[in-house]
Amino acid sequence: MATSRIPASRLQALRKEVYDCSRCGFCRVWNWKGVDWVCPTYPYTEAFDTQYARGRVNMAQQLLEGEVDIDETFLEHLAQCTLCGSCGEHCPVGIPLFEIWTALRADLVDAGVMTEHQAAVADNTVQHHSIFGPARRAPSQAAVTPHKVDVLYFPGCQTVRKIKSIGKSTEELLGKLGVNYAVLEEDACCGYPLFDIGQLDAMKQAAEYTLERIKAYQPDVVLTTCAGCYRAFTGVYPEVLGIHSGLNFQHTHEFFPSLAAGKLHEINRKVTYHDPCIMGRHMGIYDEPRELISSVPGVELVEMYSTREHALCCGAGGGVLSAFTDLAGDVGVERLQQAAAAGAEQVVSSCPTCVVNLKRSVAKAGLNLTVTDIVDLLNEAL
Amino acid sequence: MDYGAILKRLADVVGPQYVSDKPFVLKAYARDFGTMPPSQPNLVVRPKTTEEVSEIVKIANEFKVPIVPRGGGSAQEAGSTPPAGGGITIEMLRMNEILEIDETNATVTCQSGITYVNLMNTLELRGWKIGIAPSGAMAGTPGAHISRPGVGWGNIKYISSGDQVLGLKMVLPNGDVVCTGSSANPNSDVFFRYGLGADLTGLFVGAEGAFGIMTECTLRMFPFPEKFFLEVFKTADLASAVSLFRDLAINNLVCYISVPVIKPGELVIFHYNVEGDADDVEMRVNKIRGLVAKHSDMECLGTEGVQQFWNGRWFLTGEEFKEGIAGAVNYFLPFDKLVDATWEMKRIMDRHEIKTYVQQMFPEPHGSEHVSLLFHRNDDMAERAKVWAAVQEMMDRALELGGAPYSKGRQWGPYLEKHMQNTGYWRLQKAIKAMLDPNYIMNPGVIGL
Repeated sequence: MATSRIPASRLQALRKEVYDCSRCGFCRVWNWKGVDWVCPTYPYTEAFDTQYARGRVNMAQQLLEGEVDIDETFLEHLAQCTLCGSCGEHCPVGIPLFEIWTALRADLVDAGVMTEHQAAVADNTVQHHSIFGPARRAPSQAAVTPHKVDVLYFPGCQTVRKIKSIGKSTEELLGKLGVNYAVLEEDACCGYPLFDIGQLDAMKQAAEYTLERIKAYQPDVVLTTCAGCYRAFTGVYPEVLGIHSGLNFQHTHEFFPSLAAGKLHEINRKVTYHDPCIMGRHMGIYDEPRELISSVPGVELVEMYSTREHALCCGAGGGVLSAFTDLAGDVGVERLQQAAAAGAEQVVSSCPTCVVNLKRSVAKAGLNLTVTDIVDLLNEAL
Repeated sequence: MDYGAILKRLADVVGPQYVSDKPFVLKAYARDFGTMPPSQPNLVVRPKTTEEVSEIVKIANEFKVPIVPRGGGSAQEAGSTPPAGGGITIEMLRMNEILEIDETNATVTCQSGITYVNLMNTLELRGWKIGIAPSGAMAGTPGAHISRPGVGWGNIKYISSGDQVLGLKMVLPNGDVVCTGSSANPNSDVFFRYGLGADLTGLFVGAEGAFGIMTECTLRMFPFPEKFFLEVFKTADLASAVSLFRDLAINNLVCYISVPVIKPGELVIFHYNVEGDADDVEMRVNKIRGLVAKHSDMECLGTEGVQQFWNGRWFLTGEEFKEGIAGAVNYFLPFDKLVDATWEMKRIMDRHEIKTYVQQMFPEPHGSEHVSLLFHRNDDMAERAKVWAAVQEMMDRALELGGAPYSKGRQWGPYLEKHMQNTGYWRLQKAIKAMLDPNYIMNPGVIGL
C-alpha cells in the first residue's frame, strides 16, 4: 500500500463541485421513474459506499484533503465506474460527477498511479495504435494507398478487432448506396478509451497519429459507427485536447437517413434501441437514432423501462469491459432483461462496445434476443 | 483492540468480500447526511441474513467492541456513525428483500435494508401502499426510519412509521433473535402488534439501535388510493396557519400537511394532500375549503404546481440541499407552542448570524414536527462552527420548551441526558440498556444511552 499525496490539479479546479455533495445518497438506487439502480455496476460489486458515486466523491475529497492510502482496491473501486453519467443525471444537487470522475482519473495518471491494465491500454494505443495491442495477423487485403475520397469510414478499434460485422455492414451499405468511400484499414485509435482511463497525454499522441492518417484521404466526411470515436473527434479533441481538426465527422444517424430514405424494404420485427451512454447522456442524441430505426418499414420500435436520459448503461464503458469482464456481463444481462420485458426481438445500438457487451451477455441471460448495430439493421433492410 | 482478528472472524461469517478495513472505505462511512464531525469505524461489514447479523453481534460482544447499524446513511444526527474510538459499522443494505406481500391480511414483511421507494413502488404496482415514507425515501430504509420512529408523507393520517409496525425481528446485543407482535407466538405470522404480552415492538421503535438491530419488519398495508388531491396556500400570519393546521388535523381531513417555508411575520407556504376515492376526496376538499374560508389571510396558490411536486417528490426533496449540508434541529411540539417556538428558533439562528436557514413544519394529529435546517457548505468550517453553536443552543431550548426530538442520534444524546436524567423514564431506559447490553456495545451514545 502506498500512502500518497496526489497534486490533483484537475480536481482542485472542481473543488467547489466536489464539496457540493450533500451525501443524500440518491445516486445509488431509485426504483422509480424508469430508474432502478442509478449506478449500474454497484449491485454487482461488493457494494461498499465507495462503489457508487457518494463514496467516490468522498474519495475525491480524501485526495483533496491530503494523504490517501492508495492500493489496488482503491483503484479498483474507482475503475468499476463505467462513466455512464447516470449519477450526474440523477443527482438532485446537480453536481457534474462525470467531470469529477474523469478529472480524478487523469490526476491519478499524472501522478503515476494506475493499474497495470490501464498502463497496458495506453501503451498498446501509443505503440500499436489499437487499445488491443499488436494485430495478431496482417490485414486481409493490402493497405489502401491514401487518396482523395468523398467519405472515409473510420471503424475504430472495437469494430476492427472485436466485431467486424459492423464494419462489413457499413461497407456493404456504402456500396449499395453508391458512395465514393475508402476505409481506414490500418490500426488507428481515436483515443477515447484513454480519455476514459485518464491517459490524456497518450490520448493526444493517439489523436495526432490518427488525424494524420485520416487527413491523408482528404475526406469530405469522416464516417464513424462508434459512439466513443464520435465523441472523441467532435467533443474531447476540441474541448479537452485543444485539437481542432477541421474535419466533418458524422455518425450513422447523421450520414445515412437522407441516403437511405425510401430505399429500405420491410422488416417485421420488434426492435428496441439501447442508448449508448456516450451518445445519450453525454451528447444528448436520443431522437435521431430512433428515427433512423423507425424509418425501416415494418419495424416496431419499443422502449425499455429505462430509456433515454434514464437508460441503463450496458456495463461496458469507462474501461469496465476489458478490466472487469464479468461485471460488465452482469450489467449487460440486466439490460437485456429490460429489452425482453419490453417485448423486443432485437436490441439495436449505435456503439460497438455496447453491441459487443450485450451480444456476449445474451447467452448468460438465457434470452432469445438478437443484438446488432443500427448499420446491421439498415443493411438488412436495403 | 485486535481488529485484524475481528476481521477474520467477520469474514468467516459474511465472506471476505463483504468486510473491509480499507482506510479509504472506512472514511466513506464516517459521516451521515448531517453536519456532525466525522467519526470513522474500524471495520465495515455487510450482512445478508438475520443469522449473519446475530453472529456479528456475538463476535462484537466477545471482543467488547461497539457496533453501529447503518441503513442508507441519510439521517442527520449521527445515529449511524460510530462513537469516538470507532467500532464496527454494520451496513444493512444487502438485506433488501421483500419477504412477503400478504394481500389477504394486508401486511408486508421486508428486510430492514430495503429502500422505501423500492418497497413502495413494488407495492404500488400491485395496488397497495404503506402509510408513511420519509422525504429521503430513495436512500432511507425501514430499519433506520422505524428506529427514529420516522415521520414523513402521511403524518396526520398515519402518524409515524412506528405506528405502521405490526412486528419486528430484532437481534439483541447478545445475539438472540426476537420476534415481536403476533409472531412472538411460534405458530403465528405477524398480523397484530399486541396480544401476547408487553408491546415489545415499542421498546425498539425510537431506540435508534440502542437495544438491538432490526433485520425484518412487518408493516400495515393499505389499498392504493384512487385519487390524490393537493392544494397550496400562502399567508403572512403564522398563528392563523397553525390554527388551520390544528383544525384540519383534529378533524382528520387530510393525509398530510407540508409547510416547507416559514418566515415568521412574513410568509408561510403550505400544502395539504388528501387521498381516497373520488367521492371521499371531494367531500374532504369541500370541508377543508370551508375551514380555510374562515381565515381571510389565506391565499390559494392552486393545485398544478404542487401536483407536479407530488409527482417528483422523491427527487425534489434532495434539491433542497443545493444550499449545502444542514445542521438539523427537528422536534415535535403541541399546536399551542408552535408559534412561540418558531420565533425563538429564529432569534437564536439570527443571533448566531447563520447565513442560510429554513424553518418548516410537518403537522401531526396533536402538534407538529418543527424543523430548522441550518445550511453550510461541506468545506466552510467557519460557518459550520456557527451552525453547530446555534444547533447546540437550539436543542437545549427545544427541550426546555417541552420538545420531543425526532431523530436523535449522538447529536441530541447529551441534551437528553441533561434534561431527563432525574426522571423515572431515564432510569428505566438506563436499566433496560444495562440489562440487555451489559457490555455497552450496541450503538453506544445514541439517544444518550
